[in-house]
Amino acid sequence: MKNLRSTVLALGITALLLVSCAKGQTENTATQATSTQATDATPAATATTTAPATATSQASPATSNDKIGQPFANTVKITVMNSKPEIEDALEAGAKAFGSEYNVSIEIYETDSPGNTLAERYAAGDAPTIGIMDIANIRDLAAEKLVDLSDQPWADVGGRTMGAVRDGKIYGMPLTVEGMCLIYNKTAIEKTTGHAFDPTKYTSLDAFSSLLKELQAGGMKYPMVLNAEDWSIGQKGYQFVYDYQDGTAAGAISFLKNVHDGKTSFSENTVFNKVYDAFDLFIADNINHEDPLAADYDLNANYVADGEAAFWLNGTWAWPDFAPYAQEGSEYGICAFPLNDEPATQGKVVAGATKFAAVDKIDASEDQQKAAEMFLNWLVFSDEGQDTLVNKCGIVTAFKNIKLQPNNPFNIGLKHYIDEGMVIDGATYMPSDHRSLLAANMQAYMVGKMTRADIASKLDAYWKSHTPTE
Amino acid sequence: MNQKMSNGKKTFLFLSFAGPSVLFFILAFVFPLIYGVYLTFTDWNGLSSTVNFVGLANYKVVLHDASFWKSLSLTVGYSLVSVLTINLVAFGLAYLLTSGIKGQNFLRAGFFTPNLIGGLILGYVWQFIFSRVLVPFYKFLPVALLQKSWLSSPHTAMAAMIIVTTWQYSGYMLLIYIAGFVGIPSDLIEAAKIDGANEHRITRSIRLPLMVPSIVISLFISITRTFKVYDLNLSLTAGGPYDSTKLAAMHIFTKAFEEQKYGIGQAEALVMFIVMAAIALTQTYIGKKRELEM
Repeated sequence: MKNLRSTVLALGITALLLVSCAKGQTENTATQATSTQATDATPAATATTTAPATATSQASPATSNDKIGQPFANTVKITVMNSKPEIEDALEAGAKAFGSEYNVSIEIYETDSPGNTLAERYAAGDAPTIGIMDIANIRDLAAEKLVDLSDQPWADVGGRTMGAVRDGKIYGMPLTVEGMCLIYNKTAIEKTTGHAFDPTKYTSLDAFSSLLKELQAGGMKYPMVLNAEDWSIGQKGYQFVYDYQDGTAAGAISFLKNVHDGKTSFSENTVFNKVYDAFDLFIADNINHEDPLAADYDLNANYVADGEAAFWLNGTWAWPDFAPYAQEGSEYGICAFPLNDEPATQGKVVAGATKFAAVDKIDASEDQQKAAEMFLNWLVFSDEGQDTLVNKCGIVTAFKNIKLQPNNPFNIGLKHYIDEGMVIDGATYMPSDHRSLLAANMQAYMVGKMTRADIASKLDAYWKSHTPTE
Repeated sequence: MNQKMSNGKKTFLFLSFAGPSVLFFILAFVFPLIYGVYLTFTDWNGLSSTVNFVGLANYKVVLHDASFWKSLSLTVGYSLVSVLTINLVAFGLAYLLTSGIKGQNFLRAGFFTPNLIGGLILGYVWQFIFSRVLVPFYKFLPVALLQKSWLSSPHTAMAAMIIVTTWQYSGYMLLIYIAGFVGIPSDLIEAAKIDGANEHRITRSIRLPLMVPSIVISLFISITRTFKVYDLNLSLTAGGPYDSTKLAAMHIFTKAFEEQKYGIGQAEALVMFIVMAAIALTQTYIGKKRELEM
């Protein structure tokens, strides 16, 4: 009996380990994308694609040292809170390299909810010297707790345009630029339709809809993939409406303010209706149509990677989850959300900085603040730092001086859209209860429990009692 | 031998034994509770160093927060059903596993195992079962219940929550009930048998009354655990579909941390605590009155 019991216990523990391993798998395999896949991928955008710049860094060591500073005489210890788990290992390696050169010891810890961690750490008097956080966290901390980074060298090479700016001062260095878009499997589309796929020809909903019909005729019954998670489908259901108003944050904010003042409403907004026309089409052609809310994120990635479906409504951040399923020899890319008759925004991808690095001024000593600023400059201006950001962390940066090309197809696509000027501002002005109060409605819409009019009235009600956070 | 201890010595003795625990209790429970209650009267957002006193404003917001009351009533319903199923299953199993059936020690360990797995992992495992394992069975067994994932419609998602909660806690309560059953003196049962009582009669008149202390403690634990559930809620349904299974703890967490309304979240937590304490203590009070002194 004892033997039996121990066997059962051992089995239980193995099962536990397996479950946790399966969960960690997506992260571990994040970097498994082969370079072939990356170089194979065709960046989407205009038909006239420019050749990508060669993957060599332009920054010379002499200029970088000026911008970074001199090594410390005594070791300075700093901490980094990282709220982007998929770059943890690369960041660790980068921090080590920087640390040994400049005599700085960097301790990095991970969090998936930066707001909570910051609250805890500040309450404990142990705030991270560098916090990698969201725009909302910067808004909360800004002048009171963060160092004004406006005079940093990186501000002039793109840091100001994409950084977290409050009252004219930069409090957060833009660390990652991400795009919200459709992800596609070029190989599968071409195989099914029998002709070359150029995403720039399908930027209108009419053209996109006819492409879906073509795919269906070719045997791909459900070419679209939609996620079920409220942070995904819930937020996209509204953000595309804001983003595509006129493509600028200012335009979206003025529209939302008009809703707030009762001057207009969502139901009479043409962009709202056009976005929902597209959603209706996506929902009808969703591969998870039988049970849309039971969709599984990894399985969704697999559908598109395998070519069972053609398009996945998501963002460039999905690559680490997508990579484990990516097929050798298949080409993937990103394209814009389809809309009819919107010349100013049509064919453009929503892009913006999504994570910012900020420096604490409450718990950090002057040396620590200096070391933190040096580390951020090292990332932007040194060869190793740039390699860490672009190649190791696999992100698109906001800095014009960095000439390295991204190393995965989604980011290559996004970089291309940015270089071509085919991007519109991503929404960053939603109040902190935007998701918790609105996102679930979009799930109800997906399964037909809410109508377009319901969504419009929920949005009206929300924005009547809220104003955009600038 | 009959020396009377001086008051000072008594205090010293008391403090040397109970002092450390009392100190830690005060530090870990009493202070946070008082501080928590204080926060309900402020507009603190969880981060800012400026904290303004707002009086009862947060409680007014709580009164009018329809989604909080919805989540609280959902929690009451969920707890009620879960407490019943947990305790019925645990009591039944404990009865079987003390009746001398073959392999009962192995079975006891087996039923207890789910309780060793954290709610978070249990939620993910069962999410997989409900969404990916059960649905393919529809091909072989075409019943409506298997056609879609249980987690994608409100009623079945709540049922799934209750099933997994029962699975998680009945093994734990099982141990308490087994201890209760084992503690019933066998001479009482033998005497009853000699007097001609059947199994049913023995259970009703001897076992049940003597099991009241176990029942009281099991009910108390299961009420408080199910009321405060968050991990399972997060990993199994994440409050979905469309917020239909968002229980009180999850609502409060979102309010305090995501919406950064710490004061309101704290006030809601206090309301939840009072409701939970009222139910659990009433239950204990009524149960205690039924306890028999041996």
